[in-house]
Amino acid sequence: MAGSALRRLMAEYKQLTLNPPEGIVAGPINEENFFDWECLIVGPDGTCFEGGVFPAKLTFPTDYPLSPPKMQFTCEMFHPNIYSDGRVCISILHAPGDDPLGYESSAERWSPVQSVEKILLSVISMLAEPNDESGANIDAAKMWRENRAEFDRIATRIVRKSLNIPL
Amino acid sequence: MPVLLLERLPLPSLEAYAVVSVSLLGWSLHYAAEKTRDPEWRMQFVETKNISQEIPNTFQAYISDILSRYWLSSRAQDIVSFSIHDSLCIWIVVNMAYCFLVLFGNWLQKQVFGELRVSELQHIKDKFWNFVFYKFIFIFGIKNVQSMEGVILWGSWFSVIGFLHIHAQLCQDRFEYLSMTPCIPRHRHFRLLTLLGSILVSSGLLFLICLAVGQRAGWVTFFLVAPECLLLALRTTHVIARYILYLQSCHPPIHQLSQGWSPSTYYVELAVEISCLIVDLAHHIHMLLRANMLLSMASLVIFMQLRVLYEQLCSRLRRHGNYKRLLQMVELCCPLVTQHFELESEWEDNKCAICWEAAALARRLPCGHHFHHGCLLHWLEQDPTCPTCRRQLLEDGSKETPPTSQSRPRENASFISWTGWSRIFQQNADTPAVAAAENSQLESLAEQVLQMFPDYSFPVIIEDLRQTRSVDLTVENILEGRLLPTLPSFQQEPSLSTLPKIVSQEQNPFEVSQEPDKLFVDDPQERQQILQCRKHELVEEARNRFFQRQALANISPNPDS
Repeated sequence: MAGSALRRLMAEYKQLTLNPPEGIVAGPINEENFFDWECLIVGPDGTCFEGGVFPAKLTFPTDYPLSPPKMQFTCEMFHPNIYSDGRVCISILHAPGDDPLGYESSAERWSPVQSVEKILLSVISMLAEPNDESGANIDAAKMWRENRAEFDRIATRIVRKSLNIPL
Repeated sequence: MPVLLLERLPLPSLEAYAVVSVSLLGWSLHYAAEKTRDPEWRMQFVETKNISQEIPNTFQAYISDILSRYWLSSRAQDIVSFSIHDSLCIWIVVNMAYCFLVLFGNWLQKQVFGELRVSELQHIKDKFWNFVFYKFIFIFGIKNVQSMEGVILWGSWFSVIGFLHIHAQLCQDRFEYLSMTPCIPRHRHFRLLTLLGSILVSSGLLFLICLAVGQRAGWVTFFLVAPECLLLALRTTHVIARYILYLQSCHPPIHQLSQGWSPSTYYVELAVEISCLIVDLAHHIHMLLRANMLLSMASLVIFMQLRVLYEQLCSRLRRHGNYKRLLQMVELCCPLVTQHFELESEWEDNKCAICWEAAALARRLPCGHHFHHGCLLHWLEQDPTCPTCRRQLLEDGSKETPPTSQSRPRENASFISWTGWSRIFQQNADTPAVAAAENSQLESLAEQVLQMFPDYSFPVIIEDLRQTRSVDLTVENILEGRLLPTLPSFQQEPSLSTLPKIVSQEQNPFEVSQEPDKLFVDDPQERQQILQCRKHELVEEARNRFFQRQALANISPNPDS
């Protein structure tokens, strides 16, 4: 299977390079291993993460696209759906079998017709609209609900940090 | 953990070990030479020789026999026989043999593998200690070997087997790693395959040795040692077969009707896996029966292992049953269709959505979606739904779930408008006829919106409608301020847009050609460089936009803050 996974990843890389969606750059960290990617995501306009460039690591399984990749932000993040270690918790990254939080319908889960591009677009939309029902980061979820001003302040700090601009 | 403890031990370097081993050997040879000069020893030796000739079946007698028959002068013969009989000397000789084995392994590793990766190292370490543990149980728990020569014989046998096993494992790990890399020089594949081939040949030779031993020492011993060789051969064959299939799949013939899978591959895989498990299972049952005491620690360990193997076998058979059922179902309700397309005309339908490769021959699901036979089966094994629309398949279509797919494109559209950039979906506008029809439709929709919001420009509305495909959603976007009356400001205001360009040209170390064809090149290094460049540009642009926004905020400070 690894051969077809490799070809598919190559095709996705090619597509993402030739027709890049705005605000997304993604590709293998090292051409020696095509199953570890790094991507940069620009925070969506009109949200508290506006303008930040957030690096994340995508780790693909050898049976990709049958199983979803794992995604982890490598910069500091504060968001209801991102664990404190950077792992992203969205339904599109969950295999149909597992349901860690027991609330998703299988229609939202991973399927092999999904792609890196779709994942990253979903993550951008997640940055814009956190789903505070599935709290990967309970503190962030609580703050998002109850103290939006403070949340925005933290987000702005993270944006500045991601751009390497001192406060 | 004993393994952890061992890692902390200050193990000597390989060179030091080799030097110590050689000097020990030298010392022991010297010692043996000194001793054999002693006439007393000679007398004793002749006596024991006479005794051992009466019982010719011992190990030492056998070796002395070989030595005298072939190649050594009587002096050297004496030294060797002394070394064999002296318990200290024989361990030094054994140590030397291990030293050779380790040096050989090291050389092999340098030739074939280069630097080992952390995961490979961890894997073989686990495998090694596991192997040592089980063989220890085997030698002292099951065979209950008590004589020194027995321990040495069994030990050296298992060392050779273990050596081959570990290298087979290493080859497998390395093959899996190489299969993740797109461009590998041919010689690396060649070396790995050569090593795999020699492991296979060695396991064949060992099997022949087993046969010879079996003839001399009885078939019970044969059945205790032969399964190891058989397992080794099977596993190596499995890796070789997978390797060859992988190499073939990397260079598929252009005109082949790609199915992404062939039944023979599956059955070869299944046969190898099942036979490995069965041989292992039979071997363990045999060991359990041969154990001197049925109620002992060794039997318990074997029994546990037996349980694990049995469970593995059962789950494999269950998986196969499941697979057969799926295959039957797929053949029943998903007809195999041949599609005739002009190349590159309809990119979505022309390709299997799972592997993104051309699907000249595909299975059509009841919901109308097409996939390669193999890709589809692999997916259905995990989840019996259509990958595209999630319709259930297992109940033979009787359980009609409402198609949830229609929400998907709209979902996409709504979050794309959130991203704040205008991105046009071009898949649907590929064929001119469709595009024309769509444009007229969009225009009529845009006019409706324009009536409500006359200060918005026509192209902006068209752009947004292209994403939302609904008047309501576009109106919502306008009302919530996601849509600006004119095109995005940073493209239009010349005073601000010139700034990032100058800065990015100054700071950009590489010159990237903006022609899309040149962005994706065949050379991996260049590709890597372009990617780095693009990342760099993205960050720079974001920084510039950040400063622009700040400047704007300073010029017209928000009255609220």
